[in-house]
Amino acid sequence: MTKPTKVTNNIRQLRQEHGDMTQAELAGRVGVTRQTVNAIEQGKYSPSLQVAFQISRVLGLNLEEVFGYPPDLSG
Amino acid sequence: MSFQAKSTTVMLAALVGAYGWYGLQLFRLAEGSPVETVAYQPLVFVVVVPLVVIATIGHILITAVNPSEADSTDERDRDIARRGSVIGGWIVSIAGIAALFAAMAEVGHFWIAHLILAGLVLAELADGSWRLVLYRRGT
Repeated sequence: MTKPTKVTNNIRQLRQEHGDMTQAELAGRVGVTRQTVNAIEQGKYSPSLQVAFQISRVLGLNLEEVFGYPPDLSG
Repeated sequence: MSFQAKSTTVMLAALVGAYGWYGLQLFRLAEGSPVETVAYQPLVFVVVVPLVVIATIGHILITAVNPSEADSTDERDRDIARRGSVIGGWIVSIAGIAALFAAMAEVGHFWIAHLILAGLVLAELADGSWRLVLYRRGT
């Protein structure tokens, strides 16, 4: 059973749009393990703000273009 | 499975193997007598040998399977390790308090020593097991 995180993301889709970048490539450029990128994509782990910014930067996008947070959970 | 998750699995296997062996040795040496009569003190030190052997062989194997991931760790591993340690810390504390009460009740040193030992081993088992749950389920 997986416990979903509140932070959502579309990293998998964005990787494909960036020349089919692999999880390992993204992980290597961000400085985390491939398993952590996989866990983030599956919503099993919310990355730190620092890693979230790094992922967004590697993908050439702003933070909120990569990650989302449902409005009803923000209060 | 990340290297740290594999490493945690190896350590759990080593703990179960080594302290399972320890328990068997205690009952074997008792030879039908009450177990608290066994001279357990040497065993407490000797059990470290199978623990180290199993852990070392296990780590060599998981490193050989994927050398590039050897000893890799990141913020998720550290977060999961911290959460596991909290559980382990609670168990060690409970065992410590139980041992304190046992000492005040003047229970035999065999049982006091084994309350502490059981607390330490159970803490490591709970820590590792919770880490594996978090790796699989998410944090």
